[in-house]
Amino acid sequence: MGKYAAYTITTLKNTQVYKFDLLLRIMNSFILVIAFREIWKAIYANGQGLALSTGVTSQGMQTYAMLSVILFAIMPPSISYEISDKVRDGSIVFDMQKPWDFEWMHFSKAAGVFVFNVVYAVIPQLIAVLLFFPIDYPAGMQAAAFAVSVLLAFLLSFLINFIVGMLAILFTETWGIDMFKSVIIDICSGAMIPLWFFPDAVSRVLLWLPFQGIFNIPLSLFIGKITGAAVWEQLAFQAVWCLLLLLLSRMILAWIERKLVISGG
Amino acid sequence: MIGRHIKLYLAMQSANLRSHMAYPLNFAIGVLSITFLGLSFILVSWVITQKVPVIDGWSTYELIFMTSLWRTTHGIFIAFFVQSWFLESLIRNGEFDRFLVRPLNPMFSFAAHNIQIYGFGDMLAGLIGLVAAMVHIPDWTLGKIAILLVIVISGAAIEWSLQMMIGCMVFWTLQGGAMRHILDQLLAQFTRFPLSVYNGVLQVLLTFILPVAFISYYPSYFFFGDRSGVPFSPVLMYLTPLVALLLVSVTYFVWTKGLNAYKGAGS
Amino acid sequence: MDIIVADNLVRQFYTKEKPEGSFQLLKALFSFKKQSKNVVDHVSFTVRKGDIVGYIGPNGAGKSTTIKMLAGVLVPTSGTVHVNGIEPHMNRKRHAGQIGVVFGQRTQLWWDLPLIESFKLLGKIYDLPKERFKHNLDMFTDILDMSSFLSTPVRQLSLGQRMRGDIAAALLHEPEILFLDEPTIGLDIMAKEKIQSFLQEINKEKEITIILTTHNMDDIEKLCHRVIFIDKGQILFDGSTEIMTAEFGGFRYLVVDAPNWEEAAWNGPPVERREDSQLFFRIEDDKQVASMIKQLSDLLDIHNLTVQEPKIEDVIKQLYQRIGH
Repeated sequence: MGKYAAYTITTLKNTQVYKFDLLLRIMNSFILVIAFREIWKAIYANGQGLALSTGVTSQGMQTYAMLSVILFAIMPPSISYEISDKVRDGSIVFDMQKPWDFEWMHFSKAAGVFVFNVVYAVIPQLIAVLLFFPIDYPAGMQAAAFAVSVLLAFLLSFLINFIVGMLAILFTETWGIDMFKSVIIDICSGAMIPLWFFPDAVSRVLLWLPFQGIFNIPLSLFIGKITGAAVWEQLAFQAVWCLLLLLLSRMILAWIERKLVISGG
Repeated sequence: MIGRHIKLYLAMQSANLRSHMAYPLNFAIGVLSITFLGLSFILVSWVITQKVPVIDGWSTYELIFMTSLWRTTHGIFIAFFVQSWFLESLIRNGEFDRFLVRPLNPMFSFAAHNIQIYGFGDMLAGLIGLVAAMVHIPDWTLGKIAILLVIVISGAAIEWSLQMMIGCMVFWTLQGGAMRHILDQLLAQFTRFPLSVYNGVLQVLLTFILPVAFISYYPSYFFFGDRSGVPFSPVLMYLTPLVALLLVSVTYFVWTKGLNAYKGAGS
Repeated sequence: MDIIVADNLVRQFYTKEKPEGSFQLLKALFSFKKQSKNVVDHVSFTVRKGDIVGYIGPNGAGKSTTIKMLAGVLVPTSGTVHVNGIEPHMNRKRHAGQIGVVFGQRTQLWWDLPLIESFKLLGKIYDLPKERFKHNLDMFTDILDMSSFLSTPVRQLSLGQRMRGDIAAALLHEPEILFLDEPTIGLDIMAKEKIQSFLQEINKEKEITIILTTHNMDDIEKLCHRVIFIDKGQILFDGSTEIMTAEFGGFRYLVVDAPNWEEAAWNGPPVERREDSQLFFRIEDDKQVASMIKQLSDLLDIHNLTVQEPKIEDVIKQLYQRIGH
């Protein structure tokens, strides 16, 4: 465990160098927060009986939209580029043969970035939002469920990233594949439009996919769209998908390691 | 003289294009993924209007027209001028000096330096969206299509100017290229919905200070049946080419000043 | 005939004080504290047509800033420079036609395209008539022995082949002056020698004036008629290569690998420098080598042994001592 924790801390320290980038990121997010809020306000003002038909008020939807921007800031960065660089120069073989688990290593790194982002991006952004736009926030069990759900969302996002990153070892092209992944997550997770806005048939399908565990579940918990027994159901949904994706990632990793050993690296 | 430059530009860009073609699979997947990204933004407008058919007087296809218009101009910018994002690294790694030891206008060398194929993905998505929307918008004439072409090129020129002016900061500061991310965000977000959904301060900002609204919002009115409801003044829907011309001139002036500062000629 | 005349050249740069703490860039943007520094400080020299001049000095001495002023990339803060009678920055485009520039580590060739395509494009950029282009290309292909890799993508070329390509690219438009920045950096001996003999050949045949910066003593000894040594923006030495090598560089090092050498117990010839277990002994004359080896092998347990050229830094040290810094 020690070496992974050390890796997390090293990542955390290295990440702190780019403070100006961070300031820009915060400004960037703030522009998005304003844009999304205004857009949804207008949509609700134009829609008739939207609050009734969707079960979410205009205020609730604005909160959802603003929070989606902030939540975006803690999702782990893509690892495809890093992996494909290492495939190109051949150092991937050394990484695989190091006395640590390849997936844990990447997770430790992502965890370091996560802690950094929470401290330097999420908290300032939250403060800024709360200062300018009063929003309702959950309390008690609901807040705890939200926190757990965010962690599971991070884990889901990490696993999807990792699996796509593994594909970078098999294909030389990564940029495009990674772009496809981002677009699918943006659309299917509820990050850009909440799932209940989609046509019914579409949203029924999306509700079964892992992507909704990244934005839709935590954000719905935050605005109180999911309450009572459904809270446990949804957390279980995230956890089960985490397990399934973890299994899948292990299988792919084992297969790739075998392949690299056979080809002699 | 101009003929020679056009020929030279085509020769250099065709060489740059062939360089990218050295990796055909990456080329295809890259372009397709960007097309997919562009279409996803158009999809968002469509999904929302399935529940709320009219937003501030704009119908589904009018919204799609507006967002596709920006997507197309953005594609042109990315394909032919994305290097304005990389002025900082060109200067830092010394490649920029190469432009100054060639018997050509440095702006020409800079413009002919790169072609970014991913821009074609944006253009493709934008054109798909434009065609899908135009089918549902009445009264198209050849004249209007010609004007649309002028608007698209003017929009690309506006985006180019804004990006270049931020890029040129590097001549004085030798850093600060990261500022462009903010501009990217403004362009991507505020070209998708009618300006009237935003509050007054943003409307003034996006019209008179960073004239992003002239890329897709104001000119869209010109093509719609109902031209009422233009904020500030209805004149604004005709002004896009003029705004583009003005911005391009200012940008070239800033570039010249910046180049002098870089060369140390005093400004 | 003097082809380059530099008179009291000064290039001043402003450096902003680097702010401390967070948001450095923001502070830097809004801070007005400037410090000026003369990177090139009243430099005067002339170069005759057909000369090969080595322009040397430690990193940050002002070498590339001078070259950039000669090439028309930078404008002098004060002083003047005339190349073939014109001031580079006043008439940049015309000047660009009479110079060729090679930056050692940055190629101007199109990375993913066959070498020949870069040449064709440069022919168009410099607006060369078809026959001139073909004539020059054939000539350089022949002299530089490039025919075997003309249709190979540049990224697949060896460093030496790429450098030959870059030099040909800089010469296609028949410039009168060639600026070379570190032309032999990273090359193996064979490749280096090929480049050197080629540069000599075109210098002789076409009377091209060559100004080169290098860290490689070998380049200077084999190529340069004359050396200008610059440090902290000022010329410290300007004279023929013979004088420089005779006075400051006419020595070599005998380098022995002797792990159990002890400084306190040493009573052999003086050790000039030590790197790990390698000891550097200075030899003024090649005839000394044999006797020195014999003397050392009696005193030391020698694992390995080589004779090395002094690095440019060693010569620079000599120059410093001589000039009395």
